[in-house]
This record gives sequence, C-alpha cells and structure tokens, in this order.
Amino acid sequence: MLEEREKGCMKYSILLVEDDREIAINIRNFLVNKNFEVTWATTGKEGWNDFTQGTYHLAIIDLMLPEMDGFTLCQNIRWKSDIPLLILSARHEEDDKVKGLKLGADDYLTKPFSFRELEARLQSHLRRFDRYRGEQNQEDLYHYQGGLSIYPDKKMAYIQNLELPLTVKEFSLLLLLAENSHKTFSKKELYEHIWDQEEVDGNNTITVHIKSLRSKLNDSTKNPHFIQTIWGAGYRFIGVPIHEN
Amino acid sequence: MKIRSWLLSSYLVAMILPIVLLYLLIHLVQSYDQEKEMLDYLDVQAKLDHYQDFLANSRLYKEIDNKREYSRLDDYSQKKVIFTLYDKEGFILYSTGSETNTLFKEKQEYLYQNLYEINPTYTTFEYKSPVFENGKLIGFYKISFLRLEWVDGVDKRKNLSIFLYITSFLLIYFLIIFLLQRKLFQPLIALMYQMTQFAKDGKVNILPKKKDEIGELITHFEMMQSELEDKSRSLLLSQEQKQYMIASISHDLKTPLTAIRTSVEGLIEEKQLNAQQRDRLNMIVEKSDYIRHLIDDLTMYSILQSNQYEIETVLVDGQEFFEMLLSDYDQLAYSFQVCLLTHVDVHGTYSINQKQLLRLCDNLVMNALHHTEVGKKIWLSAFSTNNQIPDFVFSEAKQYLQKQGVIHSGTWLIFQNEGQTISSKDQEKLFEPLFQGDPSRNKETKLGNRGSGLGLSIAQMIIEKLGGFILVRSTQGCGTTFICFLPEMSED
Repeated sequence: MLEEREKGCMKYSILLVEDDREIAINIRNFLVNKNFEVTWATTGKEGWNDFTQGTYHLAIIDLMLPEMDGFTLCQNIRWKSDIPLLILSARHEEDDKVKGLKLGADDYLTKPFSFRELEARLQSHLRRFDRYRGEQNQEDLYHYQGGLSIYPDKKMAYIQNLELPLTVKEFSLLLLLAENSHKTFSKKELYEHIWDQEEVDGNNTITVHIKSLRSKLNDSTKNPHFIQTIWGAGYRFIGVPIHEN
Repeated sequence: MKIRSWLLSSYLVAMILPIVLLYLLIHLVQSYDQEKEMLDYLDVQAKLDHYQDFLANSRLYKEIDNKREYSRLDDYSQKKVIFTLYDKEGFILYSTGSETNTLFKEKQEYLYQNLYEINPTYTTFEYKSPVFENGKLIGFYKISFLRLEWVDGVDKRKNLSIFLYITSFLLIYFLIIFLLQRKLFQPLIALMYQMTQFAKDGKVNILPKKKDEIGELITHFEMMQSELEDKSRSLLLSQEQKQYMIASISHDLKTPLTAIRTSVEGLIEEKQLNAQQRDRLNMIVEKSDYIRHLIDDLTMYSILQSNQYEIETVLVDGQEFFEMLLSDYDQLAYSFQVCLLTHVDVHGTYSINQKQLLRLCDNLVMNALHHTEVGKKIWLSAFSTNNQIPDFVFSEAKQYLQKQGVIHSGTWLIFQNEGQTISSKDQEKLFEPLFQGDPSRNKETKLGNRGSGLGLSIAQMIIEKLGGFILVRSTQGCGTTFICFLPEMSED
C-alpha cells in the first residue's frame, strides 16, 4: 500500500494496458527510465487480472483492446479503486473523450502524443492522488512547477523568488483556486467566496481580477500553467505541485 | 374525366348554350305572338260590324261641318279604337285620338291596298273600307284597333328574355370558372406548394389523386421525389462510408505513428548520441508531428462535413474570449520574423466552441504568416459590429465592413497581412478544399511544411456551424484581409 512506501525509494507502480507491441515497449522503456515500475498487459482481460492481483498508483489504458475494451476496463477499475486512470486513444471523436471521462477516467491522451506530454500528465495526476490520500505535508501544497510559491500565513506569493504585488482580493482568489486544485469555480461562486455577497448580473469583477492576476503571474490565457479558463463554466487552478525533498 | 376532354366540352358548352338559350327565348315570344294574334283577330272581327254601320254614314264625308257627328266618333273610339276618315281623294277628314286632321293626303296606293281585310301591324289591327253613296265613291274610312295588351305583353317578355339571357350567360361563365378552379387551379397550386416544400426540407404530405392529367403529374412528382430520396439516401450512405473510412484510416495511421514517435523519443533520451544524430532524430519527431497535423485536418474536415455533427457551444463573455483567442501568437510571429499587431474591442455574450474557434484562428493566423514576407506586418483584430473599424483595415475590407456593419450584430474577426493579394476570381474558390490558386501561394512555405490544403475550408465550416461566415478582400498594393463574422447572442 501507499502508506508503506518510503519517501524517495519506493517507486510509483503503473499498470499499462496497450495491445500495440511497439508502443507499449517504448512507453515501458521510457517510464522505467523515469524510475517508474511498469506492468504491461496486452488485453483488457489481462489488464483486469493484473489490476486485481497487484497494487498500482496509476493505470494507462488504450481504448481499443481485445477481449475487454478500454471503457469497460475503466469502469471496472473505477468500481474498485480511486487510482488515476489515463486513457490513450487514436480515435478522434470528441464523444470518446466525454464517454471516457464519464466512466471515471481522469485524463485523455490522443495518439500520437509526446513523452513530455505523457510525463507531465503522469506527474500531475500522481501528485494529486498523493495529496488526495494525505501523503504530503502541508508545506508541499504551495510550491508549483514554474516557480510559483504561495504562503497562506504571510498572505504572500512569489514567482521565481520575486514577490508578486497582489491585492488582497487577488491573493484570496489565487489561494482559493490553488487550495482546490483542478476544481472548477464559476464566476458566481468565486464572487460569493471572495466578496462574500451575491453576484449582480453583468458584473465583470471576477473577469477583471483574473485578468490582472494572470498578468502578474505572467500566465497565458490560451496555454496556462496556473489558472485555466473552462469556457462556459469558470476557472480552475492547474499548477503542478513540487515536493520539497 | 381527362382535363383535355373536360376543357373541350366546357368550351363547347360555353359557346353553344347561350345560342340555344337565345333561340328558345325568341321562340317563346313568337309563340305568344301567334296565340294572342288569333284571339285579338276574333275580337276585332266581332267589333267590326258594330262600327261599320256607323262609319258608312255618307254624311260624315260631305264637306260640311260635322262636329256633332265627329264627337260621336270620339265617344265610340274610347281610346282603344282610332277612326280615320278620308274623302275620295285621300285627304284626311277626321281622325280620332290625334290632332292631325289637317290637309294631309294619304297615298292612293295605301288607300286601295288590302281593302275589306283586317291587317295586323305591330301595334294595331287595321281595317279599310270605301264608302259609296248611290254607287258613287265619296270617301274611305280606316278603323285601327290598338293592340295595347299585346304590345305590353311582348315588351315584358322581351325584357324578361334579355334579363334571363344575361343571367344565364353570367351563370355559365362563373360555373366554368368554378369548375376550372376545382379541377385545374387548386390541384396545381397544391402541387406547386408540395414542390416548394420538398425542395425546402424534403417533407411532403400525400396529395389526393384523380384520374386526370393532374393526377398523372402528381404521380410523376412522387416518382421523382422517391428517386431523389433514394439518391440522397445513397449519397448519405456513401458519405458515411467515406467518413468511416477516413476515421479508420486516421486511426490506423496514428497507431504506427505513435510507435515511430515513441521509438524516436526513446532514442533521443539515450545519452551517447552526438549532435548530428540528435538533429536527425528531432527531424523525425517534427515530421511525425506534421503527419499528425495532416491526419487531424483530414479527420476534422470529414467530421465537420457530416450532417450529424452538431457543434457543442457554451456562452462566454466576448471581450474575455476574443482576448484569449487572439493572444499568444507573438512567439510564432517572431519566429516568422513578422511584426504582429493585435486589437480586441468586443462587448456582449457569444455562443462559441472554444476548441473549434482556436482551430479556426490557428489556421487563419498560419495562413497569414505563410503569406507574409519577412519584416512585413500582420494584424489580428476582433471588434463588435457597432464599434469603430480600426484604422489599419485596408480600404476594400473597410468598405465592406462599413456596409455590412449596419446589417449584422456581432463581432468581426480580422486576419490581415501585408503583401500578397488574391484576385477576385480566386477569392471565391479560396475556401474550396485543396484549392490551388496562385502557385506561388502554395509553394513550400518558408518554414518548411505546407499545410494540408484544408485549413481554410475547415475555418469556413467552423464559422458557418457557429452561425457566422467568412470571406476575403484584397486591396491592391496593400495586402489581404480575411473577415469572419460571429453573431452575438441575443439578450433573451
């Protein structure tokens, strides 16, 4: 179990279910090089057997599998466990994505993908899962890739060790989003949380504050590292936390 | 009944019926005439003897003042009979019921004609007789029995006939119009309506069919309809097959591509490579990314073409969204050594699909960058239709925007590049897939890879799915402006 894992020496163990031999071998080699432990299954059924017999921190599942397809496998794993599920697919249809995510998958990668992309996703999901399981100490929560550090007690934030000139509201906004990483807040919710009052229609206070916050963080709207806009829904924090050790 | 024979017989009826009617009416008047004439004749015969004795009195014809005698004549006549007396030369001596007892002389021929006979005229029965005294002719008398009743009867019947004739003529006219309406016009209008409906959305009701030419026309229309439906069904089927094929091929291509890419990336990770080997491997990664881009374009093109594909949209704040949409192209422009200027001034709410609009924007920006020479400018702009048109917009495009800004309510997206222009002939074809216009526009572009040739078609399909449109304007000596329009969501 995760609790048994000693910091630094215990490897993350990953279940890879992929029927294409070359791709699977390449991914496995790459992950092994990156210090992961990889179990490779070639069919859905085999993947399910491996899952029930071992302990994994994350599963990478191809959608088109013989014997049992990726959707079913995801669904089955989700019934038994909370580990992050990463779907791989060569199909294009947007439906697949939605269907996969509905069945409990955490993320979706379209083939062909780059290793850098794969690694970033893996790291992000594993950290989040660790945090979810209470694996991290409090301080770890507030350091992120890209040089962002947040100190809730001092009410200060730094980027590349330079203090960010944030207003009180901007800091509250950043902290709220960061403390609830990957949770999407609507503008209305943010307004009610930070300003502690009902939002009036046509109010663009949140938009203005997010814009200012982004510009201070030097974050892009299109390809953000910290605050992502979910169009039609709201905003969420997507910074990748870093371990201090 | 066939419409042809129906039309022919209706013509015949319309021509013959009034004539027959006219004949019948004339016949009616005539038969009345004969009947009445007979009765009147007998009546006149009976009265004649009574007047004859009195009028044969020779004293009436002597040239002395006979006023007393004449007044007795007046008493006799009682307006229904007119007595006219002549002397032997034919001069009128006296006439009841008229003031013409002057020296008017009747013609001898008239006086001697039809003597002792009752002669019917239109208004009277006339009887003429000579008067003798001692065997010597002293004058003539004429008795005119007025046919007042008869004349009245004939007049009435004449009026009635004219009235009946006109009425029946109108009746026939309107009856034929009514029948034509029912038999010809109404079914034709119904059929025309069906045709328009079919052309519009392919749904029609079944029309009632009669055994005439219209019925045949409806049958033919239905045949054409089912044939068209069959055709479009098979077209749809083949389109679906094509899409399925593209999807399968894309899928089958992506799997080995993933294997290639991951293999090469695995190799790059190895530490004992020299710089040249690393460059070559990076080139393979780059090219495999390019192949992926082409496959994506092809797949997206076939998805957008599908009728079943309905674009998912969300509501967003215009200014926030368009700022994001046009952001982050600076690095790209820098790598092309092109100067980029961005301008956003939007208000209102928009219904958009973020991914697809990003794709559209990427395609149009790449297109602009590929056709701009080093050191020249490109402009990206988004502004609401009722905002001011930015100064940098070239004249041709500006003219268009000024005209259309009044009609539309939404946002203009402008992608403008300095330099090359596109002939108006090519402007129309530009959005066709794989269009090869000016070969210089399609040569290997400065950063290596050419596009798939689907970029502009995809952009057009995306903007149209979102209820907008795209077009292009070139200004000689300045450059080319791509104009996209995206409608604003109404308040409700």
